[in-house]
Amino acid sequence: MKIITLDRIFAGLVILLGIHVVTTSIGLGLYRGHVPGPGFFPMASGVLILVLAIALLARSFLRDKAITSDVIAPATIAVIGVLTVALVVFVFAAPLLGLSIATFILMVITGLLTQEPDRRGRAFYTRLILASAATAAICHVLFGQVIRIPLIYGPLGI
Amino acid sequence: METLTLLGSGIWAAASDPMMLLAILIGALVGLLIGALPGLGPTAGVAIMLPVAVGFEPVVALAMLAGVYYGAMFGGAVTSILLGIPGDAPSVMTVIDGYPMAKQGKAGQALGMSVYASFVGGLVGLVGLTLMAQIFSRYALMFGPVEMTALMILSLSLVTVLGTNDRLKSFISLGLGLWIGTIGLDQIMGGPRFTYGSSILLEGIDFSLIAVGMFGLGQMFLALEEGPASRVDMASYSYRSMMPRWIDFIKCRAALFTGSIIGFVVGVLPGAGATAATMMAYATAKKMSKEPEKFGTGAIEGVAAPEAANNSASYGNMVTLFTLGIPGSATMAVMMAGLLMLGLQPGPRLFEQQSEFVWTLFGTFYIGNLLLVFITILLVPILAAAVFVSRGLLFAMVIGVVVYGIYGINLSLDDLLVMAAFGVLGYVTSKLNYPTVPLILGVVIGPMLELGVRRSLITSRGDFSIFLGSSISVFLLVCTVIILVLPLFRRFRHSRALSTEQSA
Repeated sequence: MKIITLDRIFAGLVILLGIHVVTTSIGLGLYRGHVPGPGFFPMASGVLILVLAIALLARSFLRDKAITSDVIAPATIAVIGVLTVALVVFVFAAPLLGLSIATFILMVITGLLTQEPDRRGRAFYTRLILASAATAAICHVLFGQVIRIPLIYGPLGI
Repeated sequence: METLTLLGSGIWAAASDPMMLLAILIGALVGLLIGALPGLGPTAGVAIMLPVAVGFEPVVALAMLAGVYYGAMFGGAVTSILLGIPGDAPSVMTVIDGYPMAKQGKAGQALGMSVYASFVGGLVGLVGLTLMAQIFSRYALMFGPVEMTALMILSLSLVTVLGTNDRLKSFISLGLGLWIGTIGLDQIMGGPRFTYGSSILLEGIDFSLIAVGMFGLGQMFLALEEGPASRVDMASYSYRSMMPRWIDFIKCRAALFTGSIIGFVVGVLPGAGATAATMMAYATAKKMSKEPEKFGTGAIEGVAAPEAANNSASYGNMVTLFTLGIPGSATMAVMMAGLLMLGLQPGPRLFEQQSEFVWTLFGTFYIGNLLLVFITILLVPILAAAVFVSRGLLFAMVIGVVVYGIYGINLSLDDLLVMAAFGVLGYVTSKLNYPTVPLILGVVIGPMLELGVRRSLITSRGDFSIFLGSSISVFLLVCTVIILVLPLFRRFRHSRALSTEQSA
């Protein structure tokens, strides 16, 4: 995806957000009597966002060439997308598997997704599994025993 | 004298507590590694450690977080000198002379100077912080809600205008931060705002989720596009060659002194940051040198000045946070979040009500600064090798720590979804050159600013002239106007000069 396209999409989204913030702020009430109401401050930030995002979008069509040639590689978008989905799945899987096992799996997936392609190999996979298991175990002891946070335990009791 | 006594007892309290020493050591070690690793800067390091640190006592937690910050300032120089790869932005200037020195077989001398310059800069910054904190906090007690509001407006303007090439995006970033800060219950009237019926949003979005998302996860996403650090020949050095040499100190005394002072002053200014301090210190050292032509080819002053400046700036940065409760940079905003999560409100009252906490914390900084001299020298080989750690292993471990840390804050897995959303936002905004610092400061300072504005207007029954009723607030607001108008005026003059040239 071209950066300029993303820039315009983002500016458009910010404009929509600005309109939403301004209209919601009016609904919240800008003033109560003589004093500012709950909508006063959000209104100020909404107007700031809206006006400047419109100016930005206009600028990008008129003369902004600074970032036009850059692109985001589809592979990067894919990795970010899969990592985000993995985090979402983790949220639902952790209560079933337990925090430490779910974290271990998430770490392995993260490692596999983010590793440089030319540095993958048997040695990396072994190190990744060992590092993930060790990190999950250390975090389990640190947070569960030292800081004493009630962790989520799975069917294996960890 | 009183300051010295308080500081002395603070250092003693820190030095006699093994838990505190361990926290300093862990923070400094993590900071050194973060500083050496390209891709993760000090802000990311402090943000990732934040959820872990808040599980401990306040002083221990803050000592650890601060250790990460100033440790990163030490660590960045190692890879800059040995490999020509800056670990973080403030160590970019060190590459210019450090790497040529290493290629000339003077790696040990350059490393030694970077460590001692970091120590000297840190010490000057610490003395500055100790003295200024006392003075600032006394004067800050004169600040009422009106003056504090004016100061917050000035700080936000400074942060938004400085350190960016695109002010339009910087102000949009600030606007987004200010809006995010309004999510949750209205602080005065109690009604929900932008919560969309969700009970989770009633208390607002936890700042740590935003910080870890934008700086931890966002930076991780950004680093995916970077190629692996190419294997370069690491310059050879010996521990003996890193030992201090008087001749180097004498040669670099001016660079060390000016670098430390510039670093501290620039560090105190909200928005300027350590990177700007290193650039100014380098330029000044070059200007003051009798052999400016040697800069860029391996001048030892070119290592001393920026290293002294970035360490001094890291403590200068803390002045406004501790004395006024106003963070001047993203890292300080994350530190402030840590203070707030631990139930401590930074500001002048902190010195009155939590004097022991403040002075013990300052004590840990002195110990950490000294400790880093030894551990940096000892760990040079590990730090240099850290650049080549495989990305997959590093990110997997970061995710593991982040998951436990974020869950541990509110015992909620849903927080991870919020963090992931801010991770994506952090990546997108960074790719599009939206500065993240105004957004973060908008989130942190926004609610305080809103409270200040509305309380002041409630007192004056809606009369805005209340902000012009005090000479301090008038001065601060005039400064704000100048800061906002000056770039526009300069641009106008520049474009007029251009059009005059073209017509001629």
